[in-house]
Amino acid sequence: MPQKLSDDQLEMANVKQYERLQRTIGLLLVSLIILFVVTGPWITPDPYQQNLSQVFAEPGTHYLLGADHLGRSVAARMAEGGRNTIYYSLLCVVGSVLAGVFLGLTAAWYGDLTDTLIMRLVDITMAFPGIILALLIAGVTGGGPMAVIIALMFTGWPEYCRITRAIAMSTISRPYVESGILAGFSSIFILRKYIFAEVLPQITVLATLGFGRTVLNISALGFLGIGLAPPEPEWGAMIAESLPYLRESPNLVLIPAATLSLTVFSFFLIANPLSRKPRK
Amino acid sequence: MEQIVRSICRHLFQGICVALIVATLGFVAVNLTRGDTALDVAIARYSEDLTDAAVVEQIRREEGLDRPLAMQYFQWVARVITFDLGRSLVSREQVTGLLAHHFYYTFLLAATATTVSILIALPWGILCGVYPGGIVDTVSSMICSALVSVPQFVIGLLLILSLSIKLHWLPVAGFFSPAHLVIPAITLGIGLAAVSSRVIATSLADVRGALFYRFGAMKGLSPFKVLTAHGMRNAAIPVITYIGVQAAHLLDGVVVVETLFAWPGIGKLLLDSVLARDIPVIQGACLLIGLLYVTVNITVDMICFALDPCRRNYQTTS
Repeated sequence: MPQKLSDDQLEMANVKQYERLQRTIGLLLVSLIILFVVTGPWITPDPYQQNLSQVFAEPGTHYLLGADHLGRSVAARMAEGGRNTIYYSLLCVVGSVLAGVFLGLTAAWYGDLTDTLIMRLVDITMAFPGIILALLIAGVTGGGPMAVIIALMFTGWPEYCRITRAIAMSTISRPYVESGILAGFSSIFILRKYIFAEVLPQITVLATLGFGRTVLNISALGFLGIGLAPPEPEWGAMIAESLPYLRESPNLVLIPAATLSLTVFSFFLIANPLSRKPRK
Repeated sequence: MEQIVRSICRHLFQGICVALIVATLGFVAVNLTRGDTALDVAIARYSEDLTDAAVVEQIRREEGLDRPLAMQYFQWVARVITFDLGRSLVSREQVTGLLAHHFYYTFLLAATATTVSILIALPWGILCGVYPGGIVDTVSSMICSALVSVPQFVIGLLLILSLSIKLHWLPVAGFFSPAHLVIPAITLGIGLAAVSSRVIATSLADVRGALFYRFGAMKGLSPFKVLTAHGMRNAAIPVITYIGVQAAHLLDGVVVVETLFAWPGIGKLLLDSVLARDIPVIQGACLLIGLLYVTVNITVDMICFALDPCRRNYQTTS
């Protein structure tokens, strides 16, 4: 029997549809960018090849997106740089999610002293703004991609740890977990089947958001000259490299800037950070 | 009462850890990484051509880099506690003086940026919060999502490109007049405004749904009166709480924006010393920024406590 929907239900349906649309657009954009970045080596010229007759070539003349101050193909460098940015961001996010979830589950399961210790560790790490800690670590160890990755993992894990712990704590007090313990299941089994299953959806959303933010941070560090060493391309570093030529050929700055923002934007579309209420 | 004391203790603990971590990390870094610090310093100070073994040895002796590691470490920590941060390895200036000088500029920039962000976010957020789900709210929510995904240095570049290069209204970079402050402050402020306008909007929408608010309207107050008398103060609490989170964003942004605009603040100092591996200055700058961040969070806690008597009974999680 067809039932008449109330206004509230209709609004909920609208919101859901709107969110689904956002997610689809986000996924589409992300797949396009990943496709471009992955197929880069086959569809673009060598990103390190300097062609001095083509210095500052306009887009569409000799190269698809023009050439930079050394006559290198911008399209090729975008693909190569994007592969670096996305690959390093992925490493960072996977690393911090693994560490965060592991420590969060440990804290919630063992409680007491273990919990206190881990939460104090979270407090300590959160006492630094992200890029500052990354600068401190990357800077004093002499920079390089490894230093940047480690630094960003180090600033990334507390968020996942806190959420994992909070969800795990509320799950552990449920009757089905207690009955699982009484039934004699091993801790590993309960953690995996009962608790991790509750944690996973939330963490997936957070990690998608975190990925967008990591791309921002990595490119900001690249822009500051910490991370990959030139001539290795990276989106943020490409912007910094082309900065002196901003007046004459703004394209060189605008192309990586636009791609970078679009990438981050599409990840935010998927995870939709602003539709949720900010944590108080 | 217990909540606020606990929260402040937590932040104080963070402050102590900041000091210890910065000191330790800098110390470990300088001693474990490959490369000879004395050599780096010599090159930074006298250029590569004028550096030879004798100069390097002299610097090693002068900077105390030949003493045992444990001794160097305890000396550094003891000095940090007494707020004597030593001298820059490169320019030989007192780190404390260097920090004080650069801090003035960072403070100027951060304060202006915060003012800019409040000036944008307050009317914007209120407009969205008064009609939640309306056309203004939906559109500005999209604009905000777009704004937070644009890196700060890109916003800065676009502003330079449009306001300085195309229109010639404002200077590109430097710090000689108030006009130089405009673009950096907007760059920093716009990202903050995007997020805080959303926080203001959601918290105002929440308050407007509350019983006491609707009762205010029912007893005959004008919509404006209800908003100012019952809405603002209650909606302000999450907004102020969020300032603590924003402080991190602000301090991160300061490094990027100061570098982009050649603004001589702490962020630029930190980056320059990172690139020159000037460990005392790196440590000093990180210490200052870390402690600043902790101080902001303690202040935010206290303001919220003063603003909201209910906090005494509520579970605080900030």
